[in-house]
Amino acid sequence: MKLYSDPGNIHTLKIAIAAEFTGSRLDLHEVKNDVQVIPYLNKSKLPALEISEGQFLFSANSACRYILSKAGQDIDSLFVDQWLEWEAAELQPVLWRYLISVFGQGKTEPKLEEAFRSLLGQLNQYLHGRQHMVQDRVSAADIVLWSSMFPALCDVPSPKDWLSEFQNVSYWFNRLSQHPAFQTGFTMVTQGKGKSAFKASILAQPPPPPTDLDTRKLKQAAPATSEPGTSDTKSSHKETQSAVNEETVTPEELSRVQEAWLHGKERVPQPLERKTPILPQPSARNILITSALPYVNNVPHLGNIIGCVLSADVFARFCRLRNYNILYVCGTDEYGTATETKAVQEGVTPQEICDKYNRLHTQVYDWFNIGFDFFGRTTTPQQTEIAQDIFWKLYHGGFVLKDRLEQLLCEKCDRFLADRFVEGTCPFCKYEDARGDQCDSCGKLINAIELKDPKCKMCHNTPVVKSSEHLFLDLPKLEPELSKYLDNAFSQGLWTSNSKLITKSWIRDGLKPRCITRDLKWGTPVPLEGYTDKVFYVWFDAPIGYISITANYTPEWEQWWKNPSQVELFNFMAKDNVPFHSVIFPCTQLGARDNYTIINHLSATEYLNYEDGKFSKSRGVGVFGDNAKDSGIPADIWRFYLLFIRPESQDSTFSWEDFMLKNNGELLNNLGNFINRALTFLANNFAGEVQPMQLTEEDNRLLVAVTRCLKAYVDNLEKIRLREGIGNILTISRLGNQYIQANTPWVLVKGNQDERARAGTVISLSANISRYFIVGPVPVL
Amino acid sequence: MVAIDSDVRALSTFLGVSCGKLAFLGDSKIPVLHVSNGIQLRGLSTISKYLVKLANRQDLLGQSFEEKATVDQWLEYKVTQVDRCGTDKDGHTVLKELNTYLSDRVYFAGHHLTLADLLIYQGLCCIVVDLSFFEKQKYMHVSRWFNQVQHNFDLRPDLQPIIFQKNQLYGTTN
Repeated sequence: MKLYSDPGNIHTLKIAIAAEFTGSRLDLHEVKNDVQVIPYLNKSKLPALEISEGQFLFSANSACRYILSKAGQDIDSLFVDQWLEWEAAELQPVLWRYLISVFGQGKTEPKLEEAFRSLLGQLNQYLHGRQHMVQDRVSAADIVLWSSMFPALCDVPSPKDWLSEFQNVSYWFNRLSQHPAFQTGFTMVTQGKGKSAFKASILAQPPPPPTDLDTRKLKQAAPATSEPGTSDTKSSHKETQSAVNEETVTPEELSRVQEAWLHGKERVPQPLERKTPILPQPSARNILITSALPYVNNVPHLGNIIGCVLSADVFARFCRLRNYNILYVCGTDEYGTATETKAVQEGVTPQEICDKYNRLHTQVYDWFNIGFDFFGRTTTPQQTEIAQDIFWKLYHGGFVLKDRLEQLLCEKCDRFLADRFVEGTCPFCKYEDARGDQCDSCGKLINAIELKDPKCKMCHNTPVVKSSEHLFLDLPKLEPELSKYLDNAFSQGLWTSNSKLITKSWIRDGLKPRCITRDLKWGTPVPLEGYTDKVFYVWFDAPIGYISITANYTPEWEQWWKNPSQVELFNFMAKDNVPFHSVIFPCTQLGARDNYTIINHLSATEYLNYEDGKFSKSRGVGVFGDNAKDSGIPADIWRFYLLFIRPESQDSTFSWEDFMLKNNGELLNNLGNFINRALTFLANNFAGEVQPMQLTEEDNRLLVAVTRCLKAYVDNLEKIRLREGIGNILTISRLGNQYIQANTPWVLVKGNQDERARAGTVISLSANISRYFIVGPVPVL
Repeated sequence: MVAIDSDVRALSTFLGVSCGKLAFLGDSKIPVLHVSNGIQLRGLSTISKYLVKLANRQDLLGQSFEEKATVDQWLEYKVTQVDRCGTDKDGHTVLKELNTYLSDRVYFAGHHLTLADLLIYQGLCCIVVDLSFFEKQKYMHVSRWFNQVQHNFDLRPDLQPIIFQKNQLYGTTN
């Protein structure tokens, strides 16, 4: 066992004596008294006994007892525990302070003496008629107490002769002093220097917390929220600090801020006039923003909303405030199997389903104040026109392959069955309820064709295998162009790391030709002879929806979509949609050779969980569609929270408890509180008139801090780091709160003229900072 | 003193034994328990160990010599450090130390629950209940351990469980 200690450490004596007593080997390593041996403790605590590789004991009492136990010489009595606890919890806090004052100052306070005397008295009483602390032999209690008290009883250059005052202690103590183990241990620790060896070590270590401290009392006296804003200042203090104090305010910043304060207003640009239809301007930064088209059939939930439309909306609002020329489009994705199936189930036409659900989506997004420039749908003539046009260009460009696919046809329903509409017996594990894409039992991926005894899920008829011809997009042929494009796009644009990873792994795994047609009725018809009974597969067709929706917005859509040199395309989505936006659609566009505007920036979110589970409409778990509106909580509050928990680098969770906490803690106590205080005070004390301001150095520093936050905010939103952006907003109001708090205008305003004037400055400055919140949080709220 | 009393009671209920009446010496916070004729035990740690032995749950004291010493050490830490925070800063120092210690451990000693976990849990309750989600994430190992103890070991059924967020809400917690 290795023992690390500084020379002459009293606690080490406990361990050394125990080792001598039991004949155990100790490997003593001497270190300086400020060395931290134990990795997890805040400050240096010596001695430290290494009982095994990397495992330490920092309690000398425990170490002492451990050595005795291992050698079979411990006394298993609760009285040993009692006296060790007495030594650590009652004796040491008093004794150490006593020793420090005696060794350090050469005298001692009466209070300390009295406290020590009282403790000695207890020990003395207990030792009446005893030679050992517990039972009739040496135990850890003897060793620990003898060691602790040695300096006080023998070494102290003081007039106090404790031993003559306490006879029983004296008898016990002197007897043990004769014990060979005690003597050897003593010599080892003092290295022959004798009694004066302990002084340095005692003075080097701080005393343990005094006995009158009580954590519970501390917590009762200082409740978490005693003052609006304090609970937040406590926890986010660090964040605010870094904005203000950690980095020193430079003179340049100070002068810039002062200049801006006085003259900045003259430089505020005019907001860009927006005339519909919004079209790219040659001198402006033209930004085209899309959010992944929600599938019409699915009722949107909070995860969909933050993943796509809300994130894009925040960015869109920000861009407008930056005077960029932007267009934000989205719409419902309406073709595909699911809609067709649902229509059959409900006994209506697919078009009717789409109309109904498109309305639902529109209403939900409208309630969330999503400001699309245009929200459309994919079931329009323009979609057919543009999709077919693109197809022809790909076809004539040699990027379309023909091949046969074997599929299951249900003759009774007269439709080819998509994988999930086939049930049968798993060919691997014989599970009888396997679905056509994956077996629920053994989890293996299967092709529907491979199922034994397949049945159509709807009519339970046995389908037949029919082979039909289909068209494939030759992705491998387009791969070199795509890679080249992406290399450039990745380095020039903003791509979330998950999107780059997913894209790269798709390409690394090797692109294969992808089927772009399906044997369905509800979809964009394929114009090629021999395939006219088929429609385009939804994932070929849907991204083209972005284009056709724009075409529904303006006949000049080509100014956006065939203008890569003047337009930047931003796509917002959740991560499962990434490959379609970064691989398949760009390949489609590249192959069409029509100067299409291809993706420049991609922001993909991770998943939003609901209270540690997943959203599930079928099980009624989560917040869907109108639920948010029905809650009575305003849309802006939802927007704020969803952005606060936006799953940017990893999955996050919607939690009602946290929703409430954030609303109360951040929006209310922080943001709302600051604005309210500043403006109400102004109204009540200065008749609502902003006062003339004499800015002090402190005020200017505050402005610098606020400016830094502002800059960070703009930078964060430019880089689509929405969550951090929210943090910046809240930091500004936090700084404001602290500023008001520190300057106590409510006190100043009752003072003399100078003080009143100062109050006026403080409040007016705060009111001015409040004005930031008219514009700043607009992207969010 | 009331708090210590209820802690000891909660512990004895958890262990399934009855603890009798706790007294306190003068106005100090040191508890004393009469265990039988004229015999009394003094100190929270000692009394707790007594209850454990009474309930025949010696496993809670540690199984090997090393584990027993580790349990003893953390009981001492609880009584001298955790329970004696004079300022919030002290509380955070404790949290930081425990957080580092627990970063690669499920329990305080060995691989199972011991009295060290139970007593430190009791001592930390009043500190942890006031932590913001930001701080809980900052001390995530303490949070993880605390949440486990509060849910798996029914030490204080009368108290509302403290909420911990399992997903990271904050980017950095420095």
